[in-house]
Amino acid sequence: MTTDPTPTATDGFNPTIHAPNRLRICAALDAAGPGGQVEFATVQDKLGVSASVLSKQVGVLVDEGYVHQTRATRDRRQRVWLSLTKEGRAAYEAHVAALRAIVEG
Amino acid sequence: METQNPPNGHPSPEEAAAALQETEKLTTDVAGVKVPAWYFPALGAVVAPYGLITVLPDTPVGIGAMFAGIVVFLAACALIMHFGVKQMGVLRWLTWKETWPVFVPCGVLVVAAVATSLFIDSNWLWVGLSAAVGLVIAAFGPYHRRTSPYYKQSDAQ
Repeated sequence: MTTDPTPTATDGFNPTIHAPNRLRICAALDAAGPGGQVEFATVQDKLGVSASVLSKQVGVLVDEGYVHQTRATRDRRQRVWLSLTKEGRAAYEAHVAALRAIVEG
Repeated sequence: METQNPPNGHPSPEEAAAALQETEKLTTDVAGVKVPAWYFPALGAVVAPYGLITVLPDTPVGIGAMFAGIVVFLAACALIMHFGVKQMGVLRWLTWKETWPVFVPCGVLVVAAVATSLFIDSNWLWVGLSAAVGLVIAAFGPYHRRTSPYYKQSDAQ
């Protein structure tokens, strides 16, 4: 006889999000709230990383379906705006809840 | 390397606490990006004269001017929002907790104007309404920059 294990708060722990810069990216985008966006340059400034590092990490999150990129060309410059997808927000919130559960033991 | 998964297993409580602290700091930083000081006054200045389209004459020129006025109004609002968000680098929709000080007074003004229009048949009523609403929006700017809980958290860091 098998029984389903009782879900725990740490089940939301997400190894993809947990990598330090990716967690910080998600935190920055979460701050913009539902429907919000943060410009790539702003995220880069807040994280204090290079554009190439940020681009690589954003790429991983985009591949997972957690982050959406919107590109706009203004004044001949391409600006990229980032936002958490619905799945990304849910995954981030679950991951934060898992971290809190770990802290609280 | 950043692109590899972290070691198997969950972080220690200390590592988790440090990660949480980092996320809270970043969330506060980004949410604390202030709306530019010019934003709401500019929006108010565009809204204030909008009521004038109601006193334009019912002539072809007047009707043309009315449509032109609507187009200018919408374009000005869009440009203000565009440049405001561009300057901030963050598009964050303000919460009800932050915006009720502008929506509630404006709602009261609209209700009062509609009620008054039942007794006073004058288009200048709507000119006064848009001017008053524009004033409320313009005044909301400095109030919002001073009182938003998101800005206070960021300033406290």
